[in-house]
Amino acid sequence: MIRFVSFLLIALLSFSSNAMQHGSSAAGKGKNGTTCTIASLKCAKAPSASFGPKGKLWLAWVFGGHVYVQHSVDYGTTFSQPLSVNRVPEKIAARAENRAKIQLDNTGNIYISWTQSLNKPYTGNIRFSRSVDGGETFSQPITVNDDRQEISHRFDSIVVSDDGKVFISWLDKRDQQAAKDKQQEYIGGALYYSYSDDQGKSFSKNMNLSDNSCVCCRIAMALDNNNLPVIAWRDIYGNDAKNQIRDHSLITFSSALKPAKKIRLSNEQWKINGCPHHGPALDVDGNNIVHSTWFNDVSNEEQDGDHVLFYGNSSNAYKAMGFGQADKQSAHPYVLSIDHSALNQTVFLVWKEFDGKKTDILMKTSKDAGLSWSQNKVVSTTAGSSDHPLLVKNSKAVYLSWHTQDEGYGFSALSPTVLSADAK
Amino acid sequence: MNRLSYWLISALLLATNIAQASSSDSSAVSSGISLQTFDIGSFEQIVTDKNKQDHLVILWSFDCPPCITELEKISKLHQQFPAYQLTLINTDAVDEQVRVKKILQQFNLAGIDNWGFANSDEEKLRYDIDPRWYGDLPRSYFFPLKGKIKRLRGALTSTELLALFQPN
Repeated sequence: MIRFVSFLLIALLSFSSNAMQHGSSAAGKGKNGTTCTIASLKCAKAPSASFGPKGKLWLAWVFGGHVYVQHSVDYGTTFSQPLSVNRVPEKIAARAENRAKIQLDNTGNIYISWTQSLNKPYTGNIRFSRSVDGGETFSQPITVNDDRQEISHRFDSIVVSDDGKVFISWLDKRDQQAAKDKQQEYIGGALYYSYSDDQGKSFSKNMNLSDNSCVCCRIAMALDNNNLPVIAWRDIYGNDAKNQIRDHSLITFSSALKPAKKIRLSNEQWKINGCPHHGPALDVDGNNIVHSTWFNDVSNEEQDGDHVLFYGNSSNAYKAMGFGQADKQSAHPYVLSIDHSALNQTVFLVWKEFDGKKTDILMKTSKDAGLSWSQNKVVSTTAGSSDHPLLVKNSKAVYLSWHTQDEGYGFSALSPTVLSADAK
Repeated sequence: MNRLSYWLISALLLATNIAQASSSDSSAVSSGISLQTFDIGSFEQIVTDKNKQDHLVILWSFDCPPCITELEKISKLHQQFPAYQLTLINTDAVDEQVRVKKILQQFNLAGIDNWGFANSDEEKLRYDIDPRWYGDLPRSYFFPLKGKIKRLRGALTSTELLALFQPN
């Protein structure tokens, strides 16, 4: 009601002047405040994080056409000087569902992937670089997609095994383009995949894992207990181009080049012929159970309380548990499990909520591998704009990695020992 | 509680009161390509300004393939019905506006009422438009002179668009 009244007042008192201001003040309206001219974590776009050997935390982020890496030996309190990965600047997708990714093997080799944006709208290439000297130098970036048309090869995702096997998947429109060239219809894009068994020196021929994927959501990828990838992505179900259902699928592998048949991960039946911009997340626990979380807005827009976030795991055929609510702007969930013992697989879920003024990161945990869950708890808050929340783990704890415009980069432990502490 | 309905009702109530006073600023479209700065309050302003005939607002991004398909259709309809009230709101980052303008020019849509998100605080801007919008694109709002306001998700078909351009 307050909003209604204030609108009336504002509209009546300042109607004409408002219209004039909005038309002419593009430069002055930005809330970014400081001008970012130096490559620094403060000015970084879309950081991602990963632990490497000896407890070192590594970050990758984007600034001014470069991917930069930094490391920390004190869990994110201080960082090394940023080092540029790509010497030649290029346009890099680093907003919302897009970011540079960083992974390490157990010898400390560093693997980075990102999406290079090309000139035409929504086109790109999947780029990869590695460091085999512990982050002193990085290789000349290579393009992983073996189709080089100026079309969409985007939304890269990467996982690396301890012994340096590299698995990359992305969304690719070469098959859509081929159909278009023949004046045939092809809905969406395709999930593509490539693999390296020589620490990223070379990659296998690109493989189409699944046709007719959605084309604008992040892909989730993790390694199972056999060091093989598990991939979840937003897929398109149904053959009706006008009535597309954007649910999620999941695929596992029996060997690095043998994908199993995909399964349907979510079944909320979200009908939308558009870009949701909400991709899933997944993790595999120490008992090889896959935990996944996703967003589907099948809420009734005229009422409150419907769930838009869902969690499911492979021990019960991904039966969906709803959590975040539609009227709270619940979005961008992330999941990670930690293996305290074979009998104690703790699962963490985090997601964003926005109340019109501030964004909260909420958390829910399960100490029994996703059977029962704690209450929601606010673990971080910001008043300004913010990135999606990510979770990172080492052998001991799970951490929240979250970049906000006002506070900068935050890295904080979420281990069960601090669950009862006050929210920050 | 449906907050969207609050401002929709308020916008309609206000429309009749201030229609006369605001006659000069709503149609001030530039002949070149200009993106007006879309900030908190802009949506209410846009809706309130355009109350004399049917009005279609489309939110879009160059990074969204269905949005570009929809712009193509809108481009044709705009040629066919040049007097129809259209507002396009682009949600891309401010530093991408050169690209955005190029697309608008390509589709001959540079002359209509174009807005661009003012900053990276997308959540606040989205919430100000509609607290139940999660960023899916394209997204449209149809404000008919008579009848129910429509919230439209995803790309519209040519038939659906034509029905909005020619309601009867």
